[in-house]
Amino acid sequence: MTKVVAIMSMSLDGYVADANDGVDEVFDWYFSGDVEVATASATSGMTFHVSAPSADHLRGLQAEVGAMLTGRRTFEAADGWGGQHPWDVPAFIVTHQVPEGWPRPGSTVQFVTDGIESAVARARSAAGPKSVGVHGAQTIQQCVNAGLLDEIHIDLAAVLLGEGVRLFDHLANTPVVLGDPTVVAGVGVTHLRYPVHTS
Amino acid sequence: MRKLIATVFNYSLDGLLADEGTEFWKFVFDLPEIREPDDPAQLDFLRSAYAHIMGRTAYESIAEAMTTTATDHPFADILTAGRKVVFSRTLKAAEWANTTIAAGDTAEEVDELRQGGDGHIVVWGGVGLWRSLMELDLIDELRVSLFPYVAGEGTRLFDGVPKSYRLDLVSSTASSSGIVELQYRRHR
Repeated sequence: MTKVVAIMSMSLDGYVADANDGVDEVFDWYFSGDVEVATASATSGMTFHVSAPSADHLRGLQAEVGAMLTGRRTFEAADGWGGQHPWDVPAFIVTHQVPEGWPRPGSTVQFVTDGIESAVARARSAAGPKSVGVHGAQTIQQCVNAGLLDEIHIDLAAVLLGEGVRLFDHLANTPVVLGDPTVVAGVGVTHLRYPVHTS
Repeated sequence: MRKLIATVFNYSLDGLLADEGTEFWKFVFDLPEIREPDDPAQLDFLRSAYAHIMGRTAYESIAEAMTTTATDHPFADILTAGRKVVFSRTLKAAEWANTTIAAGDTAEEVDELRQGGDGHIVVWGGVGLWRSLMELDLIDELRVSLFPYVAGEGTRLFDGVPKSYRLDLVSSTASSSGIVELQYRRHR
């Protein structure tokens, strides 16, 4: 069964970006170790330097995810990953309007304009037996509100931001009770993975 | 110099405290390990503290509980025997044994408590004292109990913290009932 998993780095006080939309603080852990982890894509790949436990964790996550689902903001911030998501999986972008010049020939980045449920359904079928990774605060919120998430995966960064973009904002049905998380302690980051109870 | 260790007992994944009367509060206090905390390491941590510091409101509610309604609570004897300091400019007298009132400048009062030895001082809250200490950057260590819960309502503890307050992760441990015990040191 394909799982839908939210994946996000977040500060201890709940922010995924600072007041200027900056992510350096919450992504600091990607560059705070001495184990190299390269992402799969030949064209848009990145190399991270993380601690050994974070490296195992990142490799596992990349092997698990068969499609990514993000919002327009993430897509824009990443410049469309040059047409290929760094994890070398098809990426689905939830948006009202397909951006000009897209979809590009040969690109695995696709656009869904008829809502979150349809986007999740398309990402699911692309992922096959693997998981769908959901990235971006707004997209994750839409998934939570529509009851579409199976798990929430948080890389909890050791920093307080005080203000910025909140992950758990605009939620329709709180409280949300989660299951027991798995916990992996890295350097400057705690990798938490919670099952979402759907009732 | 003694370290100031702030304890955050009931913290949700969305950064909110369990305020009395909320669903989150009920969730937290329905857990037996929260109603009757018996982890020896935690009890030792409290017992070995040089002092326990609290704001007035927190002090009054903890004092009342530990001396009248919840005298058999595992913290009661430890706290009654321990040195307590209430930060208040209005409180005139404190009835609970071993309490002193700190009515002066917060930074100076804390400084005085920290001098003259090692060990640790436990910061209990409430939120007002907490925020003053964060603003003054006097907290050396944070211990947070993170619950598997998105609360949606409650006090946003870290509102107004100095920008990009960096921490060093000391440990993160899975505990019972999905609670994650997080320990951070202020990065200096």
